[in-house]
Amino acid sequence: MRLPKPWSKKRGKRIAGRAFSGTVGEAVFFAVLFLVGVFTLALTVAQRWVPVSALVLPTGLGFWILIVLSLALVVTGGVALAFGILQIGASSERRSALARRAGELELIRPSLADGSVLPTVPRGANLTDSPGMRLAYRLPSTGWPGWRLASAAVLALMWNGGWLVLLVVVITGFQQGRPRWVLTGLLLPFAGVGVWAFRYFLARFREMSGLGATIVEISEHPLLPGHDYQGYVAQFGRMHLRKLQVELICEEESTYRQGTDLRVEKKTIRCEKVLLDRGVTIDRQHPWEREFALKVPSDSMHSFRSPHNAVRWKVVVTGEARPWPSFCQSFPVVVQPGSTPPRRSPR
Amino acid sequence: METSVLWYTEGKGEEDLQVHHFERLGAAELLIRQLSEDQPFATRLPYSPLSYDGQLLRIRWCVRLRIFLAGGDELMAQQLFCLTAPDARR
Repeated sequence: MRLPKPWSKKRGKRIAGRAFSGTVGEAVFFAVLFLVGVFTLALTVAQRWVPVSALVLPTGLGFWILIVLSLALVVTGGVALAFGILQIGASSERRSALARRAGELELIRPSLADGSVLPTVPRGANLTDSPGMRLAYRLPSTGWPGWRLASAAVLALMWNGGWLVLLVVVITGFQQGRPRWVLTGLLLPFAGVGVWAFRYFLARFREMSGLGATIVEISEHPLLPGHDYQGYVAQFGRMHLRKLQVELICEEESTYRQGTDLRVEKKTIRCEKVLLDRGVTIDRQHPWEREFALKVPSDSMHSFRSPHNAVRWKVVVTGEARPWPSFCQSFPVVVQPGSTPPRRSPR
Repeated sequence: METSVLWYTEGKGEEDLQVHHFERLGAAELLIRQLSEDQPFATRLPYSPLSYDGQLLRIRWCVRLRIFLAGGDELMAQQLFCLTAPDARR
């Protein structure tokens, strides 16, 4: 077992330390920075507006310097932590796909394609602008699996920030000679919740660090019913999966009003299992890679999109893992009607 | 009298409708035409959307005739048809 070292010698461009330890260390550092900022900010503000007999902090120019420094700590810690969360488990390709998510709105809303030769069929232009390494196109994914981590980070920071503010109130009370015993007593259980929230955040952080990018490539696009295609899937990261499967899914989506609420209902109407692997072990050096055959059933409905209804097709990669969380990544594809219009010749 | 070829959706979601072909005959034109005889018209149908019978959603194609009577009443009749891909008919 290799013990973690707080420092290591830099050897050219090679990374001598462990990237995972560095990522966790960075997250902890910036979280602590954020909390220290909240604490000093609360303490400084309390010293200014709560009358105390013995001032421990200056109230002149030094007061504003402390305010600025505290705010700087809060902003630096918060932004750096948020940026770190966005970077976790995301390759440059995946980040690029996330940045293009705005383009995927074309799959939801009607676009200029409605005036084309295939009305109501999404063009899927943004699905083919990224060439693959093995096959013709690398599909962009939808959704970001880091929402749980982001929620845990917000919970931990907000709770512990609030706890630090309460701590300042208690300290101020003692300084004034009017101790708030009830609040002092509550600080202990609140601290317990804060520790739990922080540990939960760290656990999610570790999980997300283990889950790497998912890549799906396809030989042709758009797809046609009854035709065969080649696919390639790769899962990066560092984990052991009980099951990893790839499915081709077709779902209907309907939007309707119920009272003043706008509701969306989705239903999977077709699910073709194209690949299933059990007992998959993935490490940094050996990603899980498979090629698979993809066939759109000949009696399938094509992709369809209108203001309140849609038929969507997607390739879904699902992993069941322990102790890591299960994950599910979707890669939209467009299925055109069985008979496509003739290609327009430039002559 | 209005003649239209259109598709519309049925099912759980709100209705979407799109007219593909639309023809309107005013009172003067109706007097010229012999309405007791067949009134043929032609339109080239698009490649999509195809008729569909799903679980949440159905897509129907139809020819719809709407007649506005002199007294202000209105009559509507429609005939559904199925739009399929040419491959599917083989």
